Amino acid sequence: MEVLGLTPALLALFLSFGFMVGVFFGFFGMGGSFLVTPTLLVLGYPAPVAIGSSMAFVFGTASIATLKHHDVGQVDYKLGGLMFVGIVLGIEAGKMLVFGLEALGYAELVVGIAYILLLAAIGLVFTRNALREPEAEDDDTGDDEIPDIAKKIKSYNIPPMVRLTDGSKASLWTISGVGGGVGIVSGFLGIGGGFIRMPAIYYLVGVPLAAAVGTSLFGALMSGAVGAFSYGLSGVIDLGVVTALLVGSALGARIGSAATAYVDEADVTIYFGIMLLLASAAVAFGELATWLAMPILDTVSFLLLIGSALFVTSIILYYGVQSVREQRGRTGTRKKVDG
Amino acid sequence: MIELTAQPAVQAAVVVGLVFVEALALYVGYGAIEERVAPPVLDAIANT
Repeated sequence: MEVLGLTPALLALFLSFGFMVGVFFGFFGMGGSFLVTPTLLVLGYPAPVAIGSSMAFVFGTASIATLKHHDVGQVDYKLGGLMFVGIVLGIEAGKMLVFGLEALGYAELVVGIAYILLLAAIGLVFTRNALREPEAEDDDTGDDEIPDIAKKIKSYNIPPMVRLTDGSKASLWTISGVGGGVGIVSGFLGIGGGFIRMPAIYYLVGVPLAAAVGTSLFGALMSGAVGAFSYGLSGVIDLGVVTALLVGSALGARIGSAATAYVDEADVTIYFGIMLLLASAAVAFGELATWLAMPILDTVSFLLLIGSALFVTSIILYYGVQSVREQRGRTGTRKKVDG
Repeated sequence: MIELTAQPAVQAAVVVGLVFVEALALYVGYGAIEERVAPPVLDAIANT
């Protein structure tokens, strides 16, 4: 019996994997999509299906996050709207690249290698930041300040210049470049691209940090919608996979988000970094399985990917439970003493 | 795989619309569940 076009085993896998991805997204504010495409590739889905389905998943998670962010966040909708054309063109270019490589028979290989490098790079950044002394992480730049590099870029007045919501001016070329550049990466890898877009909006366009986060989220929503539509035109999106992942991730994101109130991010960042490095190795094993015609490596790859994600999710939940007990226990003791 | 048979543009728009409706339903549904379930769950964790 199949549900959503998936066998019970696959349904359970996508629900639980979606939950884990949701916990990461809710807790770290990222990791919602760059684990989905590689997992689908490892499971044997063709690259266009894996990327298209991941883009639809990004659209779903970004919609939920934007709904949550709407009241409290700062979103520069004008800037988001100005990036739209760049996002459309970038995603279309990324998609054409995927289908071109698919026609040549290299899509899974090239996308796989891109993921090995991407996951390793982000994993190294997280691991290095976790190992760095806390003092070194101090940043004097406040939420409303703009970094020097952005001021320098803003000083080059390349017309047409547009006025942003905060009153500052930026070149439409820079804005379109950010939208298009991140769009290509999104369309090629099936990711929201927030981990690139947010710093790009902050450092290149020069939007204050708080607004950059919200605007980047809005950008992910647009990227997901455009990507899902674009890949949907080719009929390669597996709605069953997307639905199962979304059901799991929407729940996981709530729990991950709630855990931020109890768990110190510094305690678990190292595990997240290591998980990304293991995910990079997992994709490499998946590629080797094809090259060497050794299916056992596919199993190793799958276990490494799911196992490491399960481990980090468990760590976050464990720290969360411990912290709830400590904090509530302390409150209970105080109440008893006061009473 | 769930099959949709329609013109590509309509099919793509339906996919985007369905995902958005799912996201909306999950946001509202889980929000309501969280409101009811979160306090007793936190109490249960604290008391075990």
